[in-house]
Amino acid sequence: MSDRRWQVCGRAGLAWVDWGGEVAIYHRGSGDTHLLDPLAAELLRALESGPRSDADLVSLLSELVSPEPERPPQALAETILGELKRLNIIELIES
Amino acid sequence: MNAIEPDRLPGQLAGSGICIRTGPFVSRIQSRLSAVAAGLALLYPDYPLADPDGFTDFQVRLYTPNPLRRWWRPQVQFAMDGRIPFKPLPLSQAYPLLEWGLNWCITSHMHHYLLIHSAVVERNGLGVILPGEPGAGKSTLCAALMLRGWRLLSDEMAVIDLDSLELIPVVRPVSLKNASIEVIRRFASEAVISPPALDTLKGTVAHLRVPRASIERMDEPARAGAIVFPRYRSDAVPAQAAPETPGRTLLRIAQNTFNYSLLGERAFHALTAVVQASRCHDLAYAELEEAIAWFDRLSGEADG
Repeated sequence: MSDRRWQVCGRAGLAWVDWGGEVAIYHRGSGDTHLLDPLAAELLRALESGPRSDADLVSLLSELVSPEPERPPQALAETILGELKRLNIIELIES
Repeated sequence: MNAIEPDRLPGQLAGSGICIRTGPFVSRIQSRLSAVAAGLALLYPDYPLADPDGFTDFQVRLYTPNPLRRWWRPQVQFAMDGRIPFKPLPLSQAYPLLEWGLNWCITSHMHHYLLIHSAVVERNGLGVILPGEPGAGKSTLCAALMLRGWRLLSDEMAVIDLDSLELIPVVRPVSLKNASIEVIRRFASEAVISPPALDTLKGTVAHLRVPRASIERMDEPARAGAIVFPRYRSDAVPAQAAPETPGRTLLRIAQNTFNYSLLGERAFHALTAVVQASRCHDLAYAELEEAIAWFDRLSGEADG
């Protein structure tokens, strides 16, 4: 995992509804609605406030989850960021 | 519509038409086709007629598009305000085409409402949305609930006021398909059902008359208190209900919303508010009676 930087796609932002165990977002740019688990929602909230690096997001995840040897925060972040990117909610910032 | 004597109805339909009010919408219907007159006489006798000189939302006409085909595979065409949204269908499908066309009029034009493909019923102040996922059997269950005293708001679409979030009744005959026609005949021998139209795109189709009690309350909105995804399953004995999460309910119901993309964020906030106010369930059932008992318990009316 290199130190890439991420941002939310588009400038229109997101609308949020938080039901505790699940979070629904409306992506104003695409008009799509998504359901997120709480960890993905936390990463996205951080990105909504501005671009973040991989290191920033891994650090945030480390504060949110207890460390598991079989799934370190780096791997967890990679999975979540990959999924948010696949859904066109976030994107890499071209350097 | 009882104000029009049955033998005068075909003439009036062939002339300036009749203006029927179904909830907030007024439709002027014009047609020389006997099947249209017969269907309206059978299914709409208790509906209020609107002022023929007043405002109408939809001007609808059903007619034979090509007189040369009068004898060979005759057809019927639907037009709204002069627009022709569908290809002609066999003449035997004239009445179902009227109902489908009226559905299209609403779902294609009434975007100041949130429009969800679902049945809506109400009892004891509890409005229940039954989204129309394919094969769910929403119309069969909706018909059975209506015949057991639940108020029908709509068999086809939840019409939600975007400001008040109230469910607006658009009370029209219930569309029954294929096996469900016979199921409802057996369930309620007194049910008034139109002659089936065969070989439509949806199979065999017939329409069920709505009880007068629901028509008389067509100006009374309801509050959504439950969203239930019904599923007919022959092995679901007894009926099985399982809670659904609000988030998953939102995604499932958004997929069934005709104008979700069009309304955008407004639809998102309206739907999340409706979901928030509702108990959300999946319900698998094999027997209508068991499903109705479950709904009655939901509305707080059951004996236990």
